[in-house]
Amino acid sequence: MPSFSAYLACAIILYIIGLYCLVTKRNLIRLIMGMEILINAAHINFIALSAYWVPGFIDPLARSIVMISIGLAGCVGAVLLSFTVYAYRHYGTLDVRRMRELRG
Amino acid sequence: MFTPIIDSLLIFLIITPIIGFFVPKKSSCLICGAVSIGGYIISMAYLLYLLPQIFRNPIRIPAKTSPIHTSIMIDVPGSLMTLLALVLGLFAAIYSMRFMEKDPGTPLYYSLLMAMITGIIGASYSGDLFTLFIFWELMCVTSYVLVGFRKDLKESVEAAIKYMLMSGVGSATILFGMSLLYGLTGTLNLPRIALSLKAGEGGLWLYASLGMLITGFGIKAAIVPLHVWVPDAYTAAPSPISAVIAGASTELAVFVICKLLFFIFPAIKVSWMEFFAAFATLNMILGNIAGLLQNDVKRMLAYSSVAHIGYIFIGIAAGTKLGLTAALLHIFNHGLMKALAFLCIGAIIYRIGARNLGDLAGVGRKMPITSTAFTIAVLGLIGMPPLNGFISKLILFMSCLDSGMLWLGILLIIFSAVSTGYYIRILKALIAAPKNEKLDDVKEAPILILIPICCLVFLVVLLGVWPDPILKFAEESSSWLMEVGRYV
Repeated sequence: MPSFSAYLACAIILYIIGLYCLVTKRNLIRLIMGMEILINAAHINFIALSAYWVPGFIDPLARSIVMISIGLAGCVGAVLLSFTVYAYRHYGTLDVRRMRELRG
Repeated sequence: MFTPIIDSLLIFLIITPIIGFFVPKKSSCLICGAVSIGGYIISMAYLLYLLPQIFRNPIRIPAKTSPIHTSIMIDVPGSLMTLLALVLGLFAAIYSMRFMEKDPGTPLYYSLLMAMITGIIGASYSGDLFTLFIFWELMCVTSYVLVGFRKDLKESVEAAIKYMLMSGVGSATILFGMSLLYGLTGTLNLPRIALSLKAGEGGLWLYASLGMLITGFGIKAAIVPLHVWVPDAYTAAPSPISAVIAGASTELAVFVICKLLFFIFPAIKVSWMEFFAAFATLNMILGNIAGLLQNDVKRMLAYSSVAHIGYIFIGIAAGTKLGLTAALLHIFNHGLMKALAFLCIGAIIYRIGARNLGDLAGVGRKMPITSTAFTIAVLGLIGMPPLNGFISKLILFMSCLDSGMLWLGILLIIFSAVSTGYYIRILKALIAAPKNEKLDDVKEAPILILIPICCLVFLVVLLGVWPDPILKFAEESSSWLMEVGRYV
């Protein structure tokens, strides 16, 4: 079984990948995927930590926050995707750098 | 289920669209608005009934505590925020009965508005990080939809997408910070985290989790490098929604930052005090300078919001009890004043359909009540003596003197003077002679729009002339936040 720090490193690497995706990509769909990766990094951290404190005991609270957070991430994703559809109707593109009506 | 304060809103948010389904489309906006107002009034009445009891002891739901229980803690600081959220929600609902009558889907609009207020209340009453996160997300998701509610307009879709991308990253960062905090302490319960962190040093990971939580909540609170979404979202949202987001949702983020800092992280106070002094300076500089350059009144008010968040951070940077009192008081007062300003510009948009300074010339003669209210809001935001903005700015300045940060207090006064520059432009536009003929047949705003405006004017003036009750409330809140031991 890998040590705890392996899971933590994995979560931090996922978080950095998500941020990298958000900074460099232009397509809205890819940005949404980056956001989901960010949230999943936090989930992995929670799950890994739930078994960390007492050996042999897994904290149900950390598991339940992850389950509910998966649902919430689904909600955010759904809202974002529906607005992506509207953005495509208005602008004819999914490139976020072309959406600059609002300035100042 | 939780507490009647939250439950009545939840029940009404389910009832409202059901009733909206059965009534004719033409009158659904009025009827659903009236139904949703019932929810706010029941909730507010119950809060006022509970207040004396809350002042003696916080009510914990469920009453049992163990490390793996989640709980809602009805305490004094949360009640301050709840009172603000309920007042603004009620007024936004009354206002929307006329303002949103031409939009489709108003029953759902009221439902979403109530869900947002529920999220704000739940997050301010949260006794652990789990509840905080869930209600926080409830508020976030509903506010995304409300900002982009007029989906056939280009600008609101664009603003909603910008807002969602930034705020979504914020939520993920908050969750990561919470997981680190959970790893350090093994529990999500706030008083327990506080006690276990007091016992030992957290080291590097404590700073990492503090940084992530501040970044995450800071996106919603418009800390300066993360404020980019603010002017867009406030401009593109319907005016009552701008009022609630600017007045309650942004303030909730600042409140949560206060709660976390003074509750969980008092051990590393010295390091975050300096950071917040820097944030306060940055926010004041950028908010006020950018505000001077705007022509769109809503954008101007958005930048003034950024500046006011800077003033609130002065209280946090002071780090004393007086500073926290001042910050909480300014959270409440700024919420009322900014909501009033947004409702007034909304009434003007409702009548003349424009929000640029140039088009506003002469509105004062055609819409005297709205313009008087707008003037009072703007004077309050400047910090004129008989209004509530003055009281909180004065206490903020006193807290600077108290903690030996005189330079911050002087910056507060200088930037209040700078901000007068753009507020005066609004006043000038209101009282100028009418320029175009379009204004000739403009009438005063309808009565349902004027009622919330007049009530808020009354509150702004009342809390300026007689600040004792709210000052005592804020003082009591800060003493609860400073002494974690009282919760256990």
